[in-house]
Amino acid sequence: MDEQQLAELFHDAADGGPAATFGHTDVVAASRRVTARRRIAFASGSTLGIVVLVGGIVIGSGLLQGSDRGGTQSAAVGGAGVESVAPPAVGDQPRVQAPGLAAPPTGSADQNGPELTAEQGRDGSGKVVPWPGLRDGDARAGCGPVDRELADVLIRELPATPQATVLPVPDACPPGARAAAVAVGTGSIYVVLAPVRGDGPADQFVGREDGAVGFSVYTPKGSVLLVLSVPATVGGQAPQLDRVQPLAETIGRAY
Amino acid sequence: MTTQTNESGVRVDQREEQEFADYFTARRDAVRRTAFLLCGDWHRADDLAQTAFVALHRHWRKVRDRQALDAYVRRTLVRAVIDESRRPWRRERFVDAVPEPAVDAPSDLGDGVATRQALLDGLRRVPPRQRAVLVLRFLEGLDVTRTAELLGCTEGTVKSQTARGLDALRGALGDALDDLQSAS
Repeated sequence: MDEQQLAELFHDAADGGPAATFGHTDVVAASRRVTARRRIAFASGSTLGIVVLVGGIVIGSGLLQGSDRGGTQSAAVGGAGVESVAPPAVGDQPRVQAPGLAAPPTGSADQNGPELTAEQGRDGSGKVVPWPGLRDGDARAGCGPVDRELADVLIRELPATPQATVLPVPDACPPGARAAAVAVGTGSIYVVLAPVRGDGPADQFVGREDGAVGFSVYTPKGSVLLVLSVPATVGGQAPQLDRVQPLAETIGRAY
Repeated sequence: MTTQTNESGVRVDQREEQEFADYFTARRDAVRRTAFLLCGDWHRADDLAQTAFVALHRHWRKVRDRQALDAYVRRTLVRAVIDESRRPWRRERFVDAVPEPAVDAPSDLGDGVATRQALLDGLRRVPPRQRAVLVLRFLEGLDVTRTAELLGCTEGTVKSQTARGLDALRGALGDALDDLQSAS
């Protein structure tokens, strides 16, 4: 059997199935439902329907407790088990006026959140880095200088931002990461690109205790690209929450 | 170009909606077949295919050309199958003995039917990632380079996964594959 014959065998094996159970209208309706649900979830600000990714350990939000309870594998590198913890509701955290972009919540997690351990990648500022597989000791202080290419790509994809202010990302980053931040509205949008070990994680939403919300994608060339919307004040409104996923998917396609 | 705002407040371009509808009509069955070979079950295949088309519809404006559309859908399908295989409650069990098919086959099976079933049985024995490589290479007709780009791995990995996948299929297809040269 040659490759052509094998290909014909594959085609033959896939033929003869039952009629499709879905049509165009089903797809369009489902698409609009997903879009509407996500807009509502991001606009509410009280429960965020996202997972908090802490140094490779995925902590499920209250909305996901049912499906994530029981040690489900996270999609992150390292595959740590999932713990179901309700995220702190906006308003429970003390409001801290953050200087500029760096707004680390100091001290322990709030009363509704877990006590974070050294294994969960807490950096010197107390801010936990949402990076799959990142372990304590891997992070370096700061994400380095502004990566101009990422900054330009991000600005191009954002809605018109007159006099866009580009800044370095102040958080800890994995080794080899490139990053840039753009000040937008009520906070900033970060874009971070870094290689990961092993198989990449599934594309997913990520979140942090300071109210930052993002979406990470595993790129065609084997990196993880994260677009993170960070509020200017802890617990404040993170800007353009409904754009983090399309931004990550669009920008990530090129890397 | 007519633009409307739907009930969710999203601007909808009628031309883009028609373009998506045309693409869907042209590709639905092919995507279902790919999904079927990736997961081995027509019901799951329809779920996976519908999910892929929903994702595509939501990002229709961002995807530029026809080749990119096909690649987007394939990538979504493959990732969904591989991700699903990692979840304990959906993890497939790789078995040595394949259970009898639910539908009774005619007693005088032609060679073609038997071989088709043997291929399906063989694919079920192959780990999800290797299965994806085989389906992309031999059903979708992608070369090593495009397969590697879609899976986000190296060409060497694709070649080795192809070789291992074919070795696994030999157990089901037997002598028929013995003279197949490793795909390049």
